[in-house]
Amino acid sequence: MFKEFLRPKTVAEAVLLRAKRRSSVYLAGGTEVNALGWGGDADVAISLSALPLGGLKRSKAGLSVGAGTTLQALIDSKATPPLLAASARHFANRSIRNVATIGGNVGSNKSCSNLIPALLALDASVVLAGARGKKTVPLSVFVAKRDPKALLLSFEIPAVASKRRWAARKYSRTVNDVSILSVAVTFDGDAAKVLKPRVAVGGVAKSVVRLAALEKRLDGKPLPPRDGIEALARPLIKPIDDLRGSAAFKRHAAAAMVAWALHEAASPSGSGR
Amino acid sequence: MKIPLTLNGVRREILAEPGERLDLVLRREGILSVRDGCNAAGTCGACAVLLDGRTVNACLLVMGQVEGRDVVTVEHFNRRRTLTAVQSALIDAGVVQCGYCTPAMVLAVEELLRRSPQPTRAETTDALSGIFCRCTGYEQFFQAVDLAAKRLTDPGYVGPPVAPSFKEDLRVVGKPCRKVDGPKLARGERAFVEDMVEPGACVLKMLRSPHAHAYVRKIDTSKAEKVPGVVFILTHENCPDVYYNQAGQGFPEPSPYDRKLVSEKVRHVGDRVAAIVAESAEAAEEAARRIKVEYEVLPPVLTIDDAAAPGAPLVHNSRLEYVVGAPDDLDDDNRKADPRDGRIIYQFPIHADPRRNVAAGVHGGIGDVEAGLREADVVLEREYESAQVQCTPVETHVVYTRMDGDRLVIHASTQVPWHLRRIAARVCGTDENNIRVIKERVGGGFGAKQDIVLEEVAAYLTWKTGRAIFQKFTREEEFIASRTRHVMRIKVKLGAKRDGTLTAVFMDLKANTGPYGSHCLTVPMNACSKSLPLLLCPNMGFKVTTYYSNIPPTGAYQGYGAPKGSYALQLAVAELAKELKMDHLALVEKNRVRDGAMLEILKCLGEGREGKAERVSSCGIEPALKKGAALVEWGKRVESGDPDWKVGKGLAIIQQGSGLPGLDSANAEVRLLSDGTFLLLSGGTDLGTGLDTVSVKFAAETLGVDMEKISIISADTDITPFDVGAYASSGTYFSGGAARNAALAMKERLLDVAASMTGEAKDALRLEYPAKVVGRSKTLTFKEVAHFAETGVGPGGLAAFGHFTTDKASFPYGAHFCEVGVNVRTGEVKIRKYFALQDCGTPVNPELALGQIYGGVLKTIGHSLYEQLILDEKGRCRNPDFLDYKVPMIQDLPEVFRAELVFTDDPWGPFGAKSVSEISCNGAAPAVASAIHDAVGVWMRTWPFTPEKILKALGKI
Repeated sequence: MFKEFLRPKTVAEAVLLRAKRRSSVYLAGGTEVNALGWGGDADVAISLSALPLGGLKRSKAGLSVGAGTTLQALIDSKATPPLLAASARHFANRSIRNVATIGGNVGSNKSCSNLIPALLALDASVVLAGARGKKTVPLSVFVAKRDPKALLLSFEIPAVASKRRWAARKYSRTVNDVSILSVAVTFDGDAAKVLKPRVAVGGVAKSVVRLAALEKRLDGKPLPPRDGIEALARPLIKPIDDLRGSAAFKRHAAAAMVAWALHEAASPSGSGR
Repeated sequence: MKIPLTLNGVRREILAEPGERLDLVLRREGILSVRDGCNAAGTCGACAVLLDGRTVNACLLVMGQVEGRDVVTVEHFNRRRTLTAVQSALIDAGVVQCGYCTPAMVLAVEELLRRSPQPTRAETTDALSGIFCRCTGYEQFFQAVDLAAKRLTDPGYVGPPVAPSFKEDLRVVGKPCRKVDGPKLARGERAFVEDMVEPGACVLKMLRSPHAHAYVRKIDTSKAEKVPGVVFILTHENCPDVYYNQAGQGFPEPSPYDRKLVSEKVRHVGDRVAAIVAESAEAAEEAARRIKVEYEVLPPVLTIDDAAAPGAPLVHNSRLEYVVGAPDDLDDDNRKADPRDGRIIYQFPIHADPRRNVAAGVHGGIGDVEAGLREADVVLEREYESAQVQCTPVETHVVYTRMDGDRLVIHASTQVPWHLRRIAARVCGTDENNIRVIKERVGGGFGAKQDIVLEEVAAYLTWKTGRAIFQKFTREEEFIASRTRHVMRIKVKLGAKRDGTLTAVFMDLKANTGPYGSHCLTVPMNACSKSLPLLLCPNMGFKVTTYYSNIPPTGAYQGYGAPKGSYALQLAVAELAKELKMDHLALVEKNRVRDGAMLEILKCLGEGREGKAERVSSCGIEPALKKGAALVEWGKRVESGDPDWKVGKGLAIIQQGSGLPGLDSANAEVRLLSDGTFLLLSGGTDLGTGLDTVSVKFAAETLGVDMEKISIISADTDITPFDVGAYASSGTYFSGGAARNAALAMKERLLDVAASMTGEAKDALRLEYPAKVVGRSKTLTFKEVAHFAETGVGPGGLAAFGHFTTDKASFPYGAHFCEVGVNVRTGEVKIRKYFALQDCGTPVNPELALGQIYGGVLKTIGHSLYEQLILDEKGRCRNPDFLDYKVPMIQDLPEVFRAELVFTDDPWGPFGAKSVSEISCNGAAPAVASAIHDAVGVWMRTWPFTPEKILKALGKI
């Protein structure tokens, strides 16, 4: 149980507290940190509730999503890119979506995150505040090497990325389950010529990964048939055996989902599930 | 510190630490509707509150987060004992079963209807997506939400009936009506064991074994006893030398007495090592840390093969004793026993051989199976295996014990109050008159609460220390230390003629009972006795062998072995149809049981007593098959429109029993009150199923009064008469039957007194609705009769006793059909359509009967597709939580889900009624497995049917 509950009024104050106080943690919705089985341990909660971190702001350059935006707010907002909204819907638990935030979900950087694949496929970057001030880094950089002390302020999604074709899919045992596998893809062009493809896969490595070699292979070319994509994707996917599934199963299913998603995105209806 | 917030519309300051969980603080503040089913994993949703108008899990919020915010619980809506539109709609639609999750559901629906006054099915699904209900199968919530939406705009809205009515000649039986305990549960009032705990009660913490199989070589509690607040610590060293079993069956039990409160040998991860009574949870935790235990670790026995292997470690190398029927070589055999393993006492022989890890065995048959196989044109032999699944009531096992003077009071969430009293008396070493068991509302039982898994420890320790004690299992304890389904491996052998006529049926069943022999004989037997009689074949046989092992304990679970027997035998029939190139339905039709058939096989399947052949008194399989085949459009191939998704159809026929004739017994009493109304004292244990409502209906129907004129008290061993409890699908038939008999006896008393009042002959008088005795010349109201009876010249207040036993067996029947989609690329399975057609005789509470069916089906869809306890090589459970033990929730419902009641009028059941709940669990596994085969051509012979297994079977991985 937290011994102290601090509610800083400014980002600077929050960052300072996080740096100064040992055994402290940022607390947003709390659905991770307050839950049984949270891997961490902290005495001091630094609540983010007084910081202006909520809301979506549209500009010419793109969309800025405040890290304190709840998953439900992402679904409810018309400004949310459809891929991101679809991925938020993959959290099949409204009671959780009503409090859990995009910042908390991305900040905990789990491989089963529903949002990270979508954000990666949308070329998102994240604005971080740390002891040395604010900086904007590509989300892929943050995901590859998370700084646990960084405070996530917002996600910046380029306008061009939101206009791409997209699809997302998750595999979970029951619907209300963590995503064992999740896939998000985007690209420009069409099936005849795929441009700037992004293929992000969760559940197959320590954190969400992009299949860069596959993206490269697809870029500028006609979309291969699904079996062909599966064959290309499989060697790039290196999951581990765990109680949620064997590596062989996850590799096979993830490759199938990638191929499905690319074709779904290319289809005339052009949107995924 | 003081934390300001608005609670149920009132601005308040609540004394709490900012890091405390909101749900716990709310309960401390007397808000009892906020409940905990997952220990703040956020996976059950029973703690839902509205935070600034949105449904959230209170367990995932700490007090600091709600400072200055608006918190609403269901108490907010409870004004002057009325019901809100939402509360009344949930009750009327039949979705208030155990009621443990109901307050959360009420809030979620309130929030939904504020957002969306006329919600779509998808919106309702989404609104309830975070709340786990194990009872109802969710389907009727759509009806409830629709009803609530209409009542919000028109408070007097009644609308079309929520369920069909049966038996026109009856007033209340067979008609939908408001469940008698519905309002209390929908308002989230004090109802469950945890709501009864008084200030100052101690907690009981069980120190559990980290090893699956070990001797406790040394245990030192001296440091733990010094922790301030620790009251008592029970270990095997100071434990009474009393053996018993926890199965919660009638005496003499077929389950062996193979355990003490705490044993020197631990037999599963989570087995009892020390029971700590302390004045606070913190003190108990601290004491647990300070107990030093030295184990001699033994190799664990985990599977049936492990247990049966020559030279396998023995789980119970115990000294054996028989009350009757000891074998001649017992003394020789007992020389091999290890004293550290303790004893096993058998009430009678169950063909156990603990020196080979055999807990129980039985075999039998009719005709000549070998001859039948020789006669066959096709012989099919297949093996089916079921995983270990857990009942997962949202309310985990819980007990509160206290002394009342020199008497022990047990507030229990149990299915068997009288068996609990008997077992508690045995372990306390006292007489039953010194113990009172009060069955509170049960937050889901499903069989797990037939077993006495914690009550007897708390009872003994309260008896010993005089202190009140509360214990509630954590979700992890519920998985590793309560009860699960027996793991079974069933080999089925079928012989058939070319035309499909069965010539031989044989089931060779091996079961894994785990560390103790709870239901070790009867569950596996029931797998045979509730599946073999579905087929008519002159040559049938079975062989059952149950093994001890070191997996988490097994016991009773809704269906009681039948779901596994049914899975094996029904799927084997589907496989046979394929071999014979016959239509599956045609093969079933050819061999299925029929009305009036004589079930000879039951001669050898008595449960703890001699069996006897039974004639089928009523059987709705024929109409069920007809209706189901039409609904699912049997025989018509379906394309999904997506090449990835192949579609197939499957079916299964099912049966169960209605209590145990010749073994079970139930009693009730009806008292006439001064104004002509009645009090019904029923021994029956309502565990959310609606049994109290059944009992009241039977009495109201019999006495010619409205249900509102009868109040019921049930399952309190001090107040209500004996009843064996709620198991074996006995509730409606036995406990309901007793209520009816008590009402019939009251009818006689009323007529006697009225005869003396009017001077008319008794046989000239009759009861007439409402509450009248009508003679040729005079009519008396019950009030007048009551008044006369209680005056100084009357015969005294009227009370009448009713007893129900029978030698008649009434079997409920049914057929389940489904249509599934299988994704050939990912192995995923989607249930597109599910139709459950069931014959429960007269459905006494039609809407609740449907709820029982939906609930049973969804549970077993869960078992078929998702659920499984996963153990590592040391016997540790790797998924003792809802994060990785996946239970189906509202979003996993079949796209089309329909339960239908197929009416038959049973000649023996009260008002023609038979049982309805357990049978509902028997169809899903075989129906879904056969549909998967129909879709993609692979047989799923082990459950759960995971995508991984399907891809493997398809040769994809």
